[in-house]
Amino acid sequence: MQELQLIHIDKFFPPNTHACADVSLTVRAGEVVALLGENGAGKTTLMRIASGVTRPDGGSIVKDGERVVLGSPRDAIRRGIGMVHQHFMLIPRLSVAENVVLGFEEGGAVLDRRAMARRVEAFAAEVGLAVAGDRRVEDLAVGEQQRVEIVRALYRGVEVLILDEPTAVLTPAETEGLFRVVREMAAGGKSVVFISHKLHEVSEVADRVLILRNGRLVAERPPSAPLGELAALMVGEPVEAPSPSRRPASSEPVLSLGGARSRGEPGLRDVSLSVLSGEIVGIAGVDGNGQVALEEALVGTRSLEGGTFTLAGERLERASPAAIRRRGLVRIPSERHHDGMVAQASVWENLVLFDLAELGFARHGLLDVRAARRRAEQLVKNYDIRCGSIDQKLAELSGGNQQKVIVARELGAGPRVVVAAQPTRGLDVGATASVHKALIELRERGGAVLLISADLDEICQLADRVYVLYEGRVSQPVAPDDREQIGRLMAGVAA
Amino acid sequence: MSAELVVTSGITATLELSTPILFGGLGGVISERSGVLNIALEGMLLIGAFGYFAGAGATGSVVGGLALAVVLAVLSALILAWLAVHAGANQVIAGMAVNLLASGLTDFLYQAIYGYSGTPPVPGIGQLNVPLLDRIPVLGPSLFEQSPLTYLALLAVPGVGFWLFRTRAGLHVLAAGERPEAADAAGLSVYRIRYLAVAASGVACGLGGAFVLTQVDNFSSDMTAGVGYIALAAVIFGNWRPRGVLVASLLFGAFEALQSILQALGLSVPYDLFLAVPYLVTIVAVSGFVGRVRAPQADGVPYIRT
Ligand SMILES: Nc1ncnc2c1ncn2[C@@H]1O[C@H](COP(=O)(O)OP(=O)(O)OP(=O)(O)O)[C@@H](O)[C@H]1O
Ligand SMILES: [Mg+2]
Repeated sequence: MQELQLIHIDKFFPPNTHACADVSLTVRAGEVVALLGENGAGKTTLMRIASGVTRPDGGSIVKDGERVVLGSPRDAIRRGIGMVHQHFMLIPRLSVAENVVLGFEEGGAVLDRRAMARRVEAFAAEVGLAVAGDRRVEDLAVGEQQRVEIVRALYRGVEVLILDEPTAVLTPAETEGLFRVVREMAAGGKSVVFISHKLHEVSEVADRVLILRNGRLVAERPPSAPLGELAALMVGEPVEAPSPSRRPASSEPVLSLGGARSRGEPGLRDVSLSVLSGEIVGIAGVDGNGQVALEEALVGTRSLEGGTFTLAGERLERASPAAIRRRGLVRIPSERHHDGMVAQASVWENLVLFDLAELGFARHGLLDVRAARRRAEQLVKNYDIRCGSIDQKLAELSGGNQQKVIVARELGAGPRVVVAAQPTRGLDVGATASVHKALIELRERGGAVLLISADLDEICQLADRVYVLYEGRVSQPVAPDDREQIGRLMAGVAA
Repeated sequence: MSAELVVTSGITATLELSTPILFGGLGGVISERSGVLNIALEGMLLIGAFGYFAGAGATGSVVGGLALAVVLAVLSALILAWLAVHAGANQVIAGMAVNLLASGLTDFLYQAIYGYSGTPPVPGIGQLNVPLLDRIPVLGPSLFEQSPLTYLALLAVPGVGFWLFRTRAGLHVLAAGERPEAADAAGLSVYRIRYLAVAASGVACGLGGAFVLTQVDNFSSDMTAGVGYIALAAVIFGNWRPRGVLVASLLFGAFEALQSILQALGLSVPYDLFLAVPYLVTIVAVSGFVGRVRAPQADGVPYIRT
């Protein structure tokens, strides 16, 4: 009968972030506990403490009635506690099997790779997760990588599995598969801690819902609690989803692609689309159908092999990313860590990173630090970015607040066109609403938004027109309320 | 010169010139696969050369020479490891620091120890003739009458390859060099792995340096003359694989040998041109000419646990 107890856990990050304040909770055998909270509420920190990654400043951890000190992830694994991190901890160049057994290899000093792959595959099949043991992790889609992470935790004999926002990058079908595994684990007497910002998932899979706010545990609710109540408990006040007023857009396209082709897996294959000013156009589709190619082609980091790319009447097939940006096209990148920020630089530096000269923060190559910092302070306030100070390293902010920094910088630049790729992935309900509000405001001002999202709800809620991307091709435009048709096109079923 | 002699001496010279590059390159592969960029190969080779000179001179034995070469090179490797792993220093700067230290220190010690007394005789390591095979015409005298250290370097190629890609220890090294935080989360000690890998590169450089010295039997200032940098190029050209490093070492060695043969034949080719070859070839390799070379992802990135 295993049980994990966190007792009076405290964690303080200097100078002024109290990430966990006197948090006590119990996870019993066979139950699924959901952890809810705003971006920066301390969910990840708390669970990193439970899995031996981070040391708490105070409090104790009790496993099966025995007080334990977790000095490293290995200690935690030995006690049966394992975590699947918000950002995966896989080694891309190694095989699936190598990643799974790393540190826990069986046999002598010489590895038998084939036997290892077979053993891992057999184990995975046993727990109902299919993985190919000898494929390289870097060749896998995110959903498959997620399965590998879970298989690894289970392979190490984990009894308490912590999943930190596991569904943020999964397709609905993959999410369903994950939930099946979670339920089976619970039925088998194991426990799962599940962190998510998607409230309907939480009520679908959890037995109990715990809510963290500003590092404190503020409430416990049954999964049947109304979603609105859960959201209000997280934020501390009722959340209103912005309701877009659908007014007709102008008729001139600001952004258009005509028969665009590009490299990639898959690349763009004969993509034609247009975005009018004052319009939000959604690109729906399951991840991995050319979204990245589309995003990169529009910002100029992937060159087109054919077709046309027009921005405000100007042909830009051969233009550099800088030239495209100067003409008023900005992007919220899907690979935010890679393309959107300098993690080791401060919050304020990240907030003014591009367009220094255009915004008047640099003259003759010299930075006007005072003005730049003022600007950053203002963005932090307007976009409700939670950070200790603007001098904090961006890497130290919670995942959701890092994304808010990017959104603030890009939308704050007063763009004509925004390419928003998965803009609310990993954001809490409040932050999601604020990003949506910002996109809608831009549209009201006559801006154009291309919203690339795997989240169909988001697309249907915001977009005026929808294209579906499937294997590098886009469909004819569809009305956003025709979900059935969108679903068919996403699955590649000819209309 | 007869054609036969040209071929024989060409192959001999190629192997001789390749040996220190190969030792250094293998050391570089081990260290960089664990995530420590090793600019210090040059300095470690130089210290190895000095170590052999001092050790063999003092003890009058080859074993004494090799032992001191390896010990001193490993000590210098540990300085690099301390700077790069423990102190989290910039690894290029740490490597250059070791190189400068090696150059200055060997000079100083040479002057201090032998400046007045004169240099002792240093036992050479001789050559090992592989029985029977050395009778093969042309190839025999060139391939099978080499220094034992050359054979050791060649045998180390599959050895290091097997260790790196087929054993548990090798897997841990790769993990530390690709994604240290993931290795840490899997319960491996990234620090320990990196220390040991850098120390292993010290062993390789100690032997490589000893070989350089046995070619001339006397120590001179900065006598490795850039071999360590060429070895660094061989690591990149060889795509961080022992077999690739072997190919690169032989190629670089062959060009140097060609230069000396052309000179012996009375053709004048600018010496500098051949000196530049390894670097030119590496630039071509790195610019994607020869397939895709890819460094270990965390090569040169210090790991600091949060
Ligand atoms: N290493 C660190 N140094 C300083 N502050 C940190 C560090 N790690 C986290 N924090 C701060 O602690 C707070 C809690 O962060 P945490 O990552 O636990 O939030 P979260 O609830 O997981 O949010 P999200 O939903 O955005 O992932 C945040 O304010 C964050 O900025
Ligand atoms: Mg988090």
